[in-house]
Amino acid sequence: MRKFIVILSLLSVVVLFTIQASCKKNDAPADTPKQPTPMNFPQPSGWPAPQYDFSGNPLTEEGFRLGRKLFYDARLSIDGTISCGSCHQQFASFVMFDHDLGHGVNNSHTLRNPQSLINLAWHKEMTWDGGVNHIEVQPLVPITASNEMGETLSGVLAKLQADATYKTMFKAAFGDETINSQRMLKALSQFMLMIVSSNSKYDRVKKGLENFTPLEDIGYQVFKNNCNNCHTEPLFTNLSFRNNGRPLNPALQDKGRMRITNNPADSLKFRVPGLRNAALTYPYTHDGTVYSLDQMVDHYRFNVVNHPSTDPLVRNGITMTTTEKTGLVAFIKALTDTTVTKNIQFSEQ
Amino acid sequence: MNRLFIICLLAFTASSCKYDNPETLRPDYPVKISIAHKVNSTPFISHSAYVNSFGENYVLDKFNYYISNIELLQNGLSIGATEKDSYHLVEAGNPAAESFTAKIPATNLNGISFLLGVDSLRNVSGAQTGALDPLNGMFWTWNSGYIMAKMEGTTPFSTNPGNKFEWHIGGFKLPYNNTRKVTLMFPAGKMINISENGQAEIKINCDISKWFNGQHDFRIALNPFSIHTVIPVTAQVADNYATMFTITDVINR
Repeated sequence: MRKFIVILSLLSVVVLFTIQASCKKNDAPADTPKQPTPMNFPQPSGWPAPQYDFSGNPLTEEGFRLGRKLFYDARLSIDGTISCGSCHQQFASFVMFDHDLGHGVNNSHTLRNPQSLINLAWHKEMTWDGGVNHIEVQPLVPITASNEMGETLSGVLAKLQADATYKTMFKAAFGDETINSQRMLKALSQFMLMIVSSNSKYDRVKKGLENFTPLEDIGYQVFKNNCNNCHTEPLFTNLSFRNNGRPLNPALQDKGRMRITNNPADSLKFRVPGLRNAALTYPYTHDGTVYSLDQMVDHYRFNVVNHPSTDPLVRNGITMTTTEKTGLVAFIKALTDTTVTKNIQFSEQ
Repeated sequence: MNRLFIICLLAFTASSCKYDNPETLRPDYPVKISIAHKVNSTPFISHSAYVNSFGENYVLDKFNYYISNIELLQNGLSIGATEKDSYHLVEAGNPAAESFTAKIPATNLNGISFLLGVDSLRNVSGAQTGALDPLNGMFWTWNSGYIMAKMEGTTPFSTNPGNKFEWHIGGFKLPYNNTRKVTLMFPAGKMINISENGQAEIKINCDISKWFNGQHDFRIALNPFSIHTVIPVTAQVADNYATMFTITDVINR
């Protein structure tokens, strides 16, 4: 009887494998065009997995290069004057250097300070108010906004479709010459997703390769005691929406997150910006009204405005000595990563 | 030893192919869905003048909406007869966009359900193509998400330039998820009967006038003439557009 059961069990395993094999589709391609070259995402060790699901848009060298060309192509704007790179400059960690608000076509200004594009692979929602729920649809905002690039999606596609270089590049990236919005957006996403910043002095200290100065050490302690709740390591943002007590800008009347949720509790809440490369990205806050790290820290020490939605963590200000403040600024400067701002891969070619 | 046998038996059961009844559920059966757009009982013609049940005059220029997640039903029950990647943009008055053929694993079926709008999952899944291409003008960029249905035209009530009205109904997040599931039984005695090389056609009537009174009163004079965000009244419009559809005929060819 035992033998019989053993034989029966083995037999059912064999049957099981046969059936599973028969369920599989035979999808070996007969005649495949030249495949694009896969590219690895530079996942920093010890970081969480990216938010972005690469399975729907596998990184390739050809896709990345196409995305880079699109990113720096001013023809994406209605009059050929503004590219993505106009307001997201590499040397300034992909913000608009020394500008409070971005510049759009027809002498227009954006509502908000252009944000850095580093480490977007970990972001679920884009822009200062989180209104855009996926990096792939983010480029639609600047392309179509009248105070940014002022174009239409069909207008952009018509220009790309008439361009022989783009035809070649879309074919190399996606297998044929079809140029459509989905491919354009996926290529742009590939370029942006690759912009990973994880090589600051802070990162090297964490790996035991360098040491903080005594001042930076003081600053790191202050940071961990007062800032890490929102500017959480390793991204130095927890990606939440908070009112940090900046006054309502009377000219802009920008209520932030409330614009998306219609919820008064979200009034004046903006996404917590990451502090990586903050030393390169002044001016600060959503309206670009704070011009130095010193002033930004002093905002939390002395100038917090208590609206109903001002965050409890900052309502009473953040107390620190002048030495601690100097240390905190030194620590934030130790988050500077020039490998990303000087990497020729991310530059206009 | 008995345990080993049971484990093997369980594994065997779990590994069986997805469709258990290949002889009754025919894959990729072509089901044509044709929608006749009317205002009350008058066939809709773009740029024509109509009067709603409150006596309000309007000229209807455009009425577009998404139909997604189509499923055929057997006696009101789900038996897995769903269309894969089921997203269709319907444009009233454009014959090319008032009918489409869905490939559905079919058997004897006598009802249909679909979502009016685009489900929340697809709203957060990045760049799409085909019916969901943002090029189709049914996508909000600054607060990303699909417009489930849009109605545009003119009315003497409107204080907008050119007396225009534009009602774009979107929103996929609670408390305002403005997708609506529509379930319709076929007329008595009607059924999809599959046959070799055959196809079925489901003829649907869409009464656009229900936009104004399907479940709630939506008076032109009392509502914004431009709706481009998710405001409370959009949920009432969504309740209304869920009542627009009736099946007029089912044909087997």
